[in-house]
Amino acid sequence: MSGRSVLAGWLLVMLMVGGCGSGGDDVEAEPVDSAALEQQRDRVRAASASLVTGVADALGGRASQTTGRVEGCESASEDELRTFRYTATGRVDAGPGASRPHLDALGPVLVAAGFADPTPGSRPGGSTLEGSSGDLTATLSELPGQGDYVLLSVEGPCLEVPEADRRDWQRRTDPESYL
Amino acid sequence: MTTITLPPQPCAVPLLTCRPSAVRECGGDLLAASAQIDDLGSFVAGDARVGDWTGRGSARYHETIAPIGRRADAMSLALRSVATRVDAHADELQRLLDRRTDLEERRSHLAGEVARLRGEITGATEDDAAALQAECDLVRRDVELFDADVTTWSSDLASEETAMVQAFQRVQEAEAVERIYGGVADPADGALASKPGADATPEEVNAWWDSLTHAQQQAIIAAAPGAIGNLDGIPAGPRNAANTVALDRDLADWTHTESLGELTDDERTWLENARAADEARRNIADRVDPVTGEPIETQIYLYDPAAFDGDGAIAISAGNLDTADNVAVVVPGFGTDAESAGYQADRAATLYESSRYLDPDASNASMFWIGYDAPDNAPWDEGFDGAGVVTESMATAGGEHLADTIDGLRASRDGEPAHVTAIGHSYGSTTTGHAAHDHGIEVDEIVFVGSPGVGGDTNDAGDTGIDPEHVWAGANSRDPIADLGNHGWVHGETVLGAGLGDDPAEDEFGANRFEAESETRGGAFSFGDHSKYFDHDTESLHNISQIVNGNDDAVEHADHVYDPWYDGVQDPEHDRDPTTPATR
Repeated sequence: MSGRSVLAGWLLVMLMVGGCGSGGDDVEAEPVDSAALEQQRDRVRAASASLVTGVADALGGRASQTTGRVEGCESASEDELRTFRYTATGRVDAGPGASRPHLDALGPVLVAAGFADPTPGSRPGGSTLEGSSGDLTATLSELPGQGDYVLLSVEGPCLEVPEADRRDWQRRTDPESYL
Repeated sequence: MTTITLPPQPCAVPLLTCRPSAVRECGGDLLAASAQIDDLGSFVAGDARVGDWTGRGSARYHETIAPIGRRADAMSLALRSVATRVDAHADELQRLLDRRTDLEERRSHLAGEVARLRGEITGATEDDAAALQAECDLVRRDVELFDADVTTWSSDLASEETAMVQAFQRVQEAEAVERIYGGVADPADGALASKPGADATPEEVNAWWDSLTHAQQQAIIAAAPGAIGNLDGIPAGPRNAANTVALDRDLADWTHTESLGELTDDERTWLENARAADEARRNIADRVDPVTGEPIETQIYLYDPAAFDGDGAIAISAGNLDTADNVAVVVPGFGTDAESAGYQADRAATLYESSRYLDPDASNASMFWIGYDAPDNAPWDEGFDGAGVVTESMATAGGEHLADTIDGLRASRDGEPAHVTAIGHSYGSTTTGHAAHDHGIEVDEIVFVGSPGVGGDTNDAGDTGIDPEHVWAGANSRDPIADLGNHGWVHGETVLGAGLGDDPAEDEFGANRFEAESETRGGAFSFGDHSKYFDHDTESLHNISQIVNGNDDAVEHADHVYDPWYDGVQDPEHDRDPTTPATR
């Protein structure tokens, strides 16, 4: 039995007025300066440029969609995110001479781009190769049923940004190619 | 020694540096400008005429404005014509770029063949000569074909550029605009005259739209975007085109007025809503499809910055609503108005990404739907809007709008019907419950997450009007809002008639409860856990995505909440360790 339902609506109103938990929950992280996320952006873009160039060379292919963006990780309320990371992505269409599975040839490319210990894995409909460089993670994916290409993504860890900066990061766009 | 003639090197492919998306944006801006000027023409032909004013002054006034209206209409048509040509130019440039890429690949391959043959000839014996010459001849023929294709490509590029230049030159002078378009009837006018009335069904609207010519449809999109942008029964593609024109026009208009310091309070509110819509579409378009690596397609399905006394109405999809195999409509709850569009777009994008990631063979569209007046402020703050949250009145009204939207989505699609899922979060679940119970929405799945109750009349999953096997509930054990629904036999509703209805995660409700705990959940009730259902790599997003994809067998079920007579509400999920299934 519960009499709490009587207060349901008013609790919702109070929740709204109270900021809906925008200060985070019980799993706390120290807000960092936004500069850390800015630095992460620069490192991710530089590493992605190196990696995508290496993959294109190894597959005799061409790179496209080489862009990055700030992505929210954890929500804080109905219209706000608390933590963010920078993610760069790209696609390399394999050249005519490249043989499948393409990921077999890309371990050394990951290492040359600074991502150690390439580890094979799987994803729905395909396979992956993942490596890390400090706190950055690079993932190469191949989906044989979808086409003759390799996808890549490089991302940093989720970082909490000061509350005052959240909206700015949420709105931030980064349309220029990292190449 | 026999002489072997090597094939020639393939010719170089000329450079082509361009960004079709930027050209397309330019076309969009021109179309928005055309709509602005068309508005002036309509104003002169309508509101600017003063019927109660007679005399010489009136005659002079009306004589003066008449040509302005005529010139505005002609200029609008001219701009529209150029905008359409620029859009076609963007398509053609993309085709030329794709062809150039193919040519580069062919060139690289042929150059490799020539190098290989050169090497083989160097070490060849007399016995090899005939076979090598035959091979050289074959490659020579391929090189000649390639060179011819490069010439054709260069010629096509030159023709396209000439055609684009001519399209601009044709209307460069005001005199030419007047000569070509002066007094020409706008094709939109005739088409709009046959538009069904306000009480038409989405099916009737769709039949009218299909009866128009392509030119008439394009004319309406440019000249009267408001006539179809939010009209149920119009397919999502043209709705998006019309709403894009309207949004770009509004941003240009109000930003200009703002720069003059002449914005009214209402206009300032509308401009903020328009900017939120702009932010939302960019938030989605900046992200990439996890299967193709290409930008996610966006569609502005609903855009009305002045709706609901300025709270605004915006719905934008990640993915193509007209063609997707699986369509999800996410209904947000309290605290939501048009200014929340940027964040809601992020949720739609994560759901799209996760659904695509988990089933790369299916196509998806995920739309956030701020299409009703949700409680978004406290009564002592900006008025009594927030007070709506304590009752179901806003959910009841919103449910009707949601049902209309789903009807419109169904009626406007051709071919195979989509697998449609309605997802209500927070107070949006109350709205979704009302849409289902009060109007019988034609969906395949209903998902309630973080629900404070699904409406007083929806007592069990069967009351939603769909098979209870396809009614789902996600409730994080630390989410205090998900704990507010009615439990057991004695509760606020039975005692005082209060509350927002039953908890869909409770055993007696009869829905499927799925796992929705978060690895970052708090130790006890935590408001932060009310907002994590759409975050990546959470149980909730994983399970919602599987439901959206129709992969019900892949959903991780959770034990229901229950309320024994001898104790308080029990949640078996409270002590389970959360997992982090990959969703990206």
